[in-house]
Amino acid sequence: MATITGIKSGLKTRLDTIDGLTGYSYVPGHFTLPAAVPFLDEIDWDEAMGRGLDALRFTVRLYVATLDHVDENAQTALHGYLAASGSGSVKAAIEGDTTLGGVVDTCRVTLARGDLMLEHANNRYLGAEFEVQVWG
Amino acid sequence: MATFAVTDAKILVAQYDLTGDSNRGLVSGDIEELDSTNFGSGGWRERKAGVGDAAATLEGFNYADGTSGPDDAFWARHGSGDVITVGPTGGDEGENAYTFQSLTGSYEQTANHGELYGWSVSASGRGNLVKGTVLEDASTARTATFNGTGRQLGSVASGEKLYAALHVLSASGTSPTLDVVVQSDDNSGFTSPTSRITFTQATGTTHEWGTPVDGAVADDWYRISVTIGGTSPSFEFFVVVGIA
Repeated sequence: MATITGIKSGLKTRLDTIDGLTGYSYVPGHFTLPAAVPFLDEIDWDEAMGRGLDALRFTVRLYVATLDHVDENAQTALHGYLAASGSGSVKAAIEGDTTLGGVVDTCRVTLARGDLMLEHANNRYLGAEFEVQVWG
Repeated sequence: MATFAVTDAKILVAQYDLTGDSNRGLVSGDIEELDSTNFGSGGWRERKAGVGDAAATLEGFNYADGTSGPDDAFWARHGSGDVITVGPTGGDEGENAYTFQSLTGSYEQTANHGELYGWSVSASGRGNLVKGTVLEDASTARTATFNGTGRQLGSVASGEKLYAALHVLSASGTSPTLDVVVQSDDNSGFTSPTSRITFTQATGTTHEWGTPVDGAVADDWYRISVTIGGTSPSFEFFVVVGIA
Protein backbone atom coordinates (compact mmCIF):
# COMPACT_ATOMS: atom_id res chain seq x y z
CA MET A 1 0.00 0.00 0.00
CA ALA A 2 1.35 3.42 -0.95
CA THR A 3 2.56 5.70 1.83
CA ILE A 4 1.71 9.39 1.93
CA THR A 5 5.43 10.16 1.91
CA GLY A 6 5.87 7.98 -1.16
CA ILE A 7 2.98 9.61 -2.97
CA LYS A 8 4.19 13.13 -2.22
CA SER A 9 7.66 12.16 -3.36
CA GLY A 10 6.17 10.79 -6.56
CA LEU A 11 4.22 13.99 -7.15
CA LYS A 12 7.36 16.07 -6.57
CA THR A 13 9.22 14.00 -9.14
CA ARG A 14 6.48 14.61 -11.72
CA LEU A 15 6.29 18.33 -10.94
CA ASP A 16 10.05 18.68 -11.25
CA THR A 17 9.76 17.64 -14.89
CA ILE A 18 8.31 21.09 -15.65
CA ASP A 19 11.20 23.33 -16.56
CA GLY A 20 11.69 26.10 -14.01
CA LEU A 21 9.17 24.75 -11.48
CA THR A 22 10.34 23.53 -8.07
CA GLY A 23 8.33 20.66 -6.68
CA TYR A 24 8.22 19.83 -2.98
CA SER A 25 7.43 16.56 -1.19
CA TYR A 26 6.75 18.34 2.09
CA VAL A 27 5.23 21.66 3.14
CA PRO A 28 8.18 24.07 3.35
CA GLY A 29 8.41 27.18 5.45
CA HIS A 30 9.88 29.05 2.53
CA PHE A 31 10.14 28.02 -1.11
CA THR A 32 11.74 28.94 -4.39
CA LEU A 33 9.25 30.44 -6.84
CA PRO A 34 7.56 29.14 -8.83
CA ALA A 35 6.81 26.30 -6.42
CA ALA A 36 4.36 23.40 -6.30
CA VAL A 37 3.48 21.86 -2.95
CA PRO A 38 1.17 18.83 -2.47
CA PHE A 39 -1.26 18.88 0.46
CA LEU A 40 -3.20 15.80 1.56
CA ASP A 41 -6.94 16.50 1.69
CA GLU A 42 -8.54 13.19 2.57
CA ILE A 43 -8.18 9.42 2.51
CA ASP A 44 -10.96 6.94 1.76
CA TRP A 45 -9.71 3.67 3.21
CA ASP A 46 -10.84 0.19 2.19
CA GLU A 47 -12.13 0.89 -1.32
CA ALA A 48 -11.44 -2.79 -2.01
CA MET A 49 -11.49 -5.86 0.23
CA GLY A 50 -8.50 -6.97 2.25
CA ARG A 51 -6.89 -3.50 2.27
CA GLY A 52 -6.58 -3.82 -1.47
CA LEU A 53 -7.15 -0.19 -2.37
CA ASP A 54 -7.35 3.26 -0.81
CA ALA A 55 -8.43 6.49 -2.51
CA LEU A 56 -6.58 9.66 -1.57
CA ARG A 57 -7.17 13.23 -2.67
CA PHE A 58 -4.37 15.77 -2.76
CA THR A 59 -4.39 19.45 -3.57
CA VAL A 60 -1.23 20.65 -5.29
CA ARG A 61 -0.88 24.34 -4.63
CA LEU A 62 1.09 26.24 -7.23
CA TYR A 63 2.72 29.49 -6.16
CA VAL A 64 3.84 31.63 -9.10
CA ALA A 65 4.75 35.08 -7.75
CA THR A 66 4.22 37.20 -4.68
CA LEU A 67 1.30 39.55 -5.12
CA ASP A 68 3.57 42.59 -4.99
CA HIS A 69 5.57 41.17 -7.92
CA VAL A 70 2.73 39.99 -10.13
CA ASP A 71 3.07 41.08 -13.75
CA GLU A 72 1.93 39.90 -17.14
CA ASN A 73 4.78 37.37 -17.36
CA ALA A 74 3.73 35.73 -14.10
CA GLN A 75 0.13 35.45 -15.27
CA THR A 76 1.18 34.03 -18.63
CA ALA A 77 3.27 31.43 -16.83
CA LEU A 78 0.33 30.59 -14.59
CA HIS A 79 -1.88 29.98 -17.60
CA GLY A 80 0.75 27.63 -18.97
CA TYR A 81 0.65 25.63 -15.75
CA LEU A 82 -3.16 25.54 -15.97
CA ALA A 83 -3.19 24.23 -19.53
CA ALA A 84 -4.31 20.67 -20.13
CA SER A 85 -1.25 19.95 -22.22
CA GLY A 86 2.08 21.47 -23.14
CA SER A 87 5.49 21.71 -21.57
CA GLY A 88 4.23 23.73 -18.58
CA SER A 89 1.03 21.78 -17.94
CA VAL A 90 0.79 20.49 -14.37
CA LYS A 91 -1.93 18.02 -15.43
CA ALA A 92 0.21 16.60 -18.23
CA ALA A 93 3.28 16.43 -16.02
CA ILE A 94 1.59 14.50 -13.21
CA GLU A 95 -0.32 12.20 -15.58
CA GLY A 96 2.88 11.54 -17.53
CA ASP A 97 3.39 8.71 -15.05
CA THR A 98 0.10 7.84 -13.41
CA THR A 99 1.86 5.37 -11.10
CA LEU A 100 4.03 8.18 -9.68
CA GLY A 101 7.13 6.08 -10.03
CA GLY A 102 5.40 2.80 -9.26
CA VAL A 103 4.06 3.74 -5.82
CA VAL A 104 0.33 3.88 -6.70
CA ASP A 105 -2.10 2.06 -9.00
CA THR A 106 -3.10 5.20 -10.82
CA CYS A 107 -3.84 8.91 -10.40
CA ARG A 108 -5.70 11.65 -12.21
CA VAL A 109 -5.64 15.43 -12.04
CA THR A 110 -9.38 16.03 -11.83
CA LEU A 111 -9.71 19.80 -11.67
CA ALA A 112 -7.88 23.07 -11.23
CA ARG A 113 -8.77 26.37 -9.65
CA GLY A 114 -7.08 29.57 -10.73
CA ASP A 115 -6.26 32.45 -10.87
CA LEU A 116 -6.08 32.39 -7.09
CA MET A 117 -4.56 34.38 -4.30
CA LEU A 118 -2.87 31.87 -2.02
CA GLU A 119 -1.52 32.52 1.43
CA HIS A 120 1.51 30.73 2.83
CA ALA A 121 3.73 31.62 5.81
CA ASN A 122 2.20 35.08 6.09
CA ASN A 123 2.83 35.89 2.43
CA ARG A 124 0.33 36.13 -0.42
CA TYR A 125 0.93 34.70 -3.86
CA LEU A 126 -0.68 34.48 -7.26
CA GLY A 127 -1.25 30.83 -7.98
CA ALA A 128 -3.58 27.93 -8.61
CA GLU A 129 -4.77 24.71 -7.02
CA PHE A 130 -4.91 21.29 -8.68
CA GLU A 131 -6.93 18.40 -7.26
CA VAL A 132 -5.23 15.05 -7.75
CA GLN A 133 -7.13 11.82 -7.14
CA VAL A 134 -4.83 8.92 -6.27
CA TRP A 135 -5.67 5.23 -5.96
CA GLY A 136 -3.26 2.78 -4.41
CA MET B 1 -22.88 -11.27 18.79
CA ALA B 2 -22.24 -8.04 16.87
CA THR B 3 -22.39 -7.13 13.24
CA PHE B 4 -19.32 -5.75 11.51
CA ALA B 5 -18.25 -3.56 8.63
CA VAL B 6 -17.13 -5.65 5.68
CA THR B 7 -13.68 -4.59 4.61
CA ASP B 8 -11.81 -7.87 4.47
CA ALA B 9 -13.96 -10.43 2.68
CA LYS B 10 -12.03 -13.17 0.89
CA ILE B 11 -13.16 -13.51 -2.73
CA LEU B 12 -11.90 -16.55 -4.64
CA VAL B 13 -12.95 -17.50 -8.15
CA ALA B 14 -11.38 -20.67 -9.56
CA GLN B 15 -7.62 -20.25 -9.02
CA TYR B 16 -7.79 -16.46 -8.69
CA ASP B 17 -7.71 -14.49 -5.46
CA LEU B 18 -9.69 -11.37 -6.29
CA THR B 19 -9.89 -10.08 -2.72
CA GLY B 20 -7.83 -6.95 -3.30
CA ASP B 21 -9.67 -6.20 -6.56
CA SER B 22 -13.19 -6.64 -5.17
CA ASN B 23 -15.49 -4.28 -3.37
CA ARG B 24 -18.78 -6.21 -3.39
CA GLY B 25 -19.66 -9.85 -2.96
CA LEU B 26 -23.24 -11.09 -2.85
CA VAL B 27 -23.78 -14.82 -2.34
CA SER B 28 -27.29 -16.17 -2.28
CA GLY B 29 -28.97 -19.50 -1.77
CA ASP B 30 -32.59 -19.16 -2.89
CA ILE B 31 -35.16 -21.84 -2.23
CA GLU B 32 -38.09 -22.00 -4.65
CA GLU B 33 -41.38 -21.41 -2.89
CA LEU B 34 -44.05 -23.87 -4.12
CA ASP B 35 -47.60 -22.81 -3.48
CA SER B 36 -49.53 -25.58 -1.73
CA THR B 37 -52.55 -23.51 -0.77
CA ASN B 38 -55.73 -25.50 -0.61
CA PHE B 39 -59.29 -25.18 0.60
CA GLY B 40 -58.18 -26.31 4.02
CA SER B 41 -55.52 -23.57 4.37
CA GLY B 42 -57.81 -21.33 6.42
CA GLY B 43 -57.61 -18.44 4.00
CA TRP B 44 -53.81 -18.20 4.13
CA ARG B 45 -51.15 -19.15 1.62
CA GLU B 46 -49.20 -22.28 2.29
CA ARG B 47 -45.89 -23.07 0.71
CA LYS B 48 -43.42 -25.89 0.55
CA ALA B 49 -39.72 -25.71 -0.22
CA GLY B 50 -38.79 -26.55 -3.76
CA VAL B 51 -35.50 -26.58 -5.59
CA GLY B 52 -32.56 -24.54 -4.28
CA ASP B 53 -30.46 -22.20 -6.41
CA ALA B 54 -27.03 -20.81 -5.53
CA ALA B 55 -25.71 -17.62 -7.09
CA ALA B 56 -23.13 -14.89 -6.62
CA THR B 57 -22.73 -11.33 -7.77
CA LEU B 58 -19.22 -9.96 -7.45
CA GLU B 59 -17.88 -6.52 -8.32
CA GLY B 60 -14.62 -4.68 -8.15
CA PHE B 61 -11.85 -2.77 -9.89
CA ASN B 62 -10.54 -4.17 -13.12
CA TYR B 63 -7.22 -4.51 -14.91
CA ALA B 64 -5.38 -7.04 -17.04
CA ASP B 65 -1.74 -7.93 -16.49
CA GLY B 66 -1.72 -11.02 -18.65
CA THR B 67 -1.99 -13.52 -15.82
CA SER B 68 -3.92 -12.65 -12.68
CA GLY B 69 -5.96 -9.51 -13.19
CA PRO B 70 -9.74 -9.73 -12.99
CA ASP B 71 -10.05 -9.25 -16.76
CA ASP B 72 -7.55 -12.09 -17.30
CA ALA B 73 -9.58 -14.31 -14.98
CA PHE B 74 -13.06 -13.62 -16.23
CA TRP B 75 -12.37 -13.27 -19.94
CA ALA B 76 -10.69 -16.68 -19.87
CA ARG B 77 -13.41 -18.26 -17.76
CA HIS B 78 -16.46 -16.63 -19.23
CA GLY B 79 -18.98 -19.43 -19.63
CA SER B 80 -16.84 -21.90 -17.70
CA GLY B 81 -17.60 -23.92 -14.64
CA ASP B 82 -15.78 -22.62 -11.58
CA VAL B 83 -15.70 -22.84 -7.83
CA ILE B 84 -16.49 -19.60 -6.03
CA THR B 85 -15.71 -19.14 -2.35
CA VAL B 86 -16.48 -16.07 -0.29
CA GLY B 87 -15.26 -15.62 3.27
CA PRO B 88 -17.13 -12.63 4.69
CA THR B 89 -14.77 -12.09 7.62
CA GLY B 90 -11.53 -12.63 5.72
CA GLY B 91 -11.45 -16.39 5.23
CA ASP B 92 -8.86 -17.07 7.92
CA GLU B 93 -8.40 -20.64 9.17
CA GLY B 94 -11.31 -21.63 11.34
CA GLU B 95 -13.62 -18.96 9.94
CA ASN B 96 -16.72 -19.50 7.86
CA ALA B 97 -16.75 -19.37 4.09
CA TYR B 98 -19.50 -19.95 1.56
CA THR B 99 -18.63 -22.06 -1.46
CA PHE B 100 -20.37 -23.50 -4.49
CA GLN B 101 -19.79 -24.75 -8.00
CA SER B 102 -20.62 -21.94 -10.37
CA LEU B 103 -21.13 -21.06 -13.99
CA THR B 104 -19.79 -17.60 -14.82
CA GLY B 105 -22.58 -16.53 -17.13
CA SER B 106 -22.19 -12.75 -17.09
CA TYR B 107 -19.04 -10.68 -17.10
CA GLU B 108 -19.51 -6.94 -17.42
CA GLN B 109 -16.83 -4.33 -17.73
CA THR B 110 -17.68 -0.83 -16.59
CA ALA B 111 -15.85 2.13 -18.06
CA ASN B 112 -17.29 5.38 -16.77
CA HIS B 113 -15.39 8.46 -17.76
CA GLY B 114 -13.00 9.54 -15.02
CA GLU B 115 -13.77 6.57 -12.76
CA LEU B 116 -11.78 3.41 -12.15
CA TYR B 117 -12.23 0.62 -14.69
CA GLY B 118 -14.64 -1.82 -13.09
CA TRP B 119 -15.91 -5.37 -13.38
CA SER B 120 -19.07 -7.16 -12.41
CA VAL B 121 -19.74 -10.89 -12.56
CA SER B 122 -22.93 -12.85 -12.12
CA ALA B 123 -22.50 -16.56 -11.55
CA SER B 124 -25.18 -19.19 -11.11
CA GLY B 125 -24.86 -22.43 -9.21
CA ARG B 126 -24.17 -25.89 -10.53
CA GLY B 127 -25.23 -27.52 -7.28
CA ASN B 128 -25.78 -26.54 -3.72
CA LEU B 129 -24.37 -23.68 -1.67
CA VAL B 130 -22.28 -24.91 1.25
CA LYS B 131 -21.42 -22.99 4.40
CA GLY B 132 -18.08 -24.41 5.46
CA THR B 133 -15.05 -23.90 7.67
CA VAL B 134 -11.68 -22.80 6.32
CA LEU B 135 -9.00 -25.44 6.92
CA GLU B 136 -6.24 -23.70 4.93
CA ASP B 137 -6.34 -19.96 4.19
CA ALA B 138 -3.48 -19.45 1.67
CA SER B 139 -1.75 -16.98 3.99
CA THR B 140 1.36 -19.15 4.22
CA ALA B 141 3.44 -20.47 1.33
CA ARG B 142 3.61 -24.21 1.93
CA THR B 143 6.87 -25.84 0.95
CA ALA B 144 6.81 -29.19 2.74
CA THR B 145 4.44 -32.00 3.63
CA PHE B 146 2.28 -31.28 6.68
CA ASN B 147 -0.99 -31.99 8.46
CA GLY B 148 -3.29 -29.06 9.01
CA THR B 149 -5.00 -28.01 12.22
CA GLY B 150 -7.95 -30.20 13.15
CA ARG B 151 -11.39 -28.58 13.43
CA GLN B 152 -14.44 -30.08 15.11
CA LEU B 153 -17.13 -29.60 12.44
CA GLY B 154 -19.62 -32.22 13.60
CA SER B 155 -20.81 -35.54 12.26
CA VAL B 156 -22.38 -36.02 8.87
CA ALA B 157 -25.91 -37.29 9.37
CA SER B 158 -27.63 -39.74 7.06
CA GLY B 159 -28.99 -37.73 4.16
CA GLU B 160 -26.26 -35.12 4.48
CA LYS B 161 -22.98 -34.90 2.62
CA LEU B 162 -19.45 -33.77 3.37
CA TYR B 163 -18.21 -31.16 0.88
CA ALA B 164 -14.79 -29.64 0.19
CA ALA B 165 -13.40 -27.07 -2.20
CA LEU B 166 -9.79 -26.37 -3.14
CA HIS B 167 -8.31 -23.21 -4.69
CA VAL B 168 -4.60 -23.37 -5.55
CA LEU B 169 -3.67 -19.71 -5.94
CA SER B 170 0.06 -19.93 -6.59
CA ALA B 171 2.59 -22.61 -7.39
CA SER B 172 6.32 -22.47 -8.03
CA GLY B 173 9.38 -24.66 -8.08
CA THR B 174 10.64 -27.37 -10.40
CA SER B 175 8.01 -30.02 -11.07
CA PRO B 176 6.03 -29.06 -7.96
CA THR B 177 3.24 -31.37 -6.80
CA LEU B 178 0.50 -30.82 -4.25
CA ASP B 179 -1.73 -33.57 -2.89
CA VAL B 180 -4.48 -32.52 -0.49
CA VAL B 181 -6.66 -35.02 1.37
CA VAL B 182 -9.48 -34.15 3.75
CA GLN B 183 -9.33 -36.53 6.69
CA SER B 184 -11.69 -37.19 9.55
CA ASP B 185 -11.40 -38.77 12.97
CA ASP B 186 -13.35 -39.00 16.18
CA ASN B 187 -10.67 -37.25 18.23
CA SER B 188 -8.59 -34.10 17.94
CA GLY B 189 -5.36 -36.08 17.97
CA PHE B 190 -6.29 -37.87 14.72
CA THR B 191 -5.01 -41.15 16.10
CA SER B 192 -6.71 -43.10 13.31
CA PRO B 193 -7.63 -40.72 10.51
CA THR B 194 -9.83 -41.71 7.60
CA SER B 195 -9.38 -40.14 4.19
CA ARG B 196 -12.71 -38.73 3.05
CA ILE B 197 -12.06 -36.42 0.08
CA THR B 198 -8.94 -36.68 -2.07
CA PHE B 199 -8.26 -33.87 -4.51
CA THR B 200 -6.52 -34.42 -7.82
CA GLN B 201 -2.80 -33.77 -7.59
CA ALA B 202 -2.06 -30.15 -8.43
CA THR B 203 1.04 -29.18 -10.37
CA GLY B 204 0.13 -25.52 -10.80
CA THR B 205 -2.67 -23.13 -10.04
CA THR B 206 -6.05 -24.81 -10.21
CA HIS B 207 -9.35 -25.27 -8.44
CA GLU B 208 -11.49 -28.28 -7.65
CA TRP B 209 -14.81 -29.23 -6.11
CA GLY B 210 -14.11 -32.43 -4.21
CA THR B 211 -16.35 -35.45 -4.67
CA PRO B 212 -18.95 -35.16 -1.88
CA VAL B 213 -19.15 -37.94 0.69
CA ASP B 214 -22.53 -39.31 1.73
CA GLY B 215 -23.42 -39.50 5.40
CA ALA B 216 -23.63 -41.05 7.84
CA VAL B 217 -20.11 -40.26 9.05
CA ALA B 218 -19.72 -40.50 12.80
CA ASP B 219 -16.35 -38.73 12.92
CA ASP B 220 -16.61 -35.09 13.89
CA TRP B 221 -13.02 -33.84 13.56
CA TYR B 222 -11.59 -32.79 10.19
CA ARG B 223 -8.19 -31.71 8.89
CA ILE B 224 -6.19 -31.64 5.67
CA SER B 225 -3.25 -33.92 5.07
CA VAL B 226 -0.90 -32.35 2.53
CA THR B 227 1.93 -33.93 0.57
CA ILE B 228 4.24 -31.60 -1.34
CA GLY B 229 6.86 -32.76 -3.78
CA GLY B 230 9.25 -31.43 -6.37
CA THR B 231 12.35 -29.26 -6.21
CA SER B 232 11.96 -26.09 -4.14
CA PRO B 233 8.16 -26.37 -4.33
CA SER B 234 5.90 -23.66 -2.94
CA PHE B 235 2.12 -23.52 -2.95
CA GLU B 236 -0.48 -21.11 -1.59
CA PHE B 237 -3.87 -22.73 -1.43
CA PHE B 238 -7.27 -22.46 0.21
CA VAL B 239 -9.45 -25.31 1.47
CA VAL B 240 -12.96 -25.03 2.84
CA VAL B 241 -14.92 -28.01 4.19
CA GLY B 242 -18.60 -28.09 5.06
CA ILE B 243 -21.52 -30.35 5.85
CA ALA B 244 -24.89 -29.88 4.21
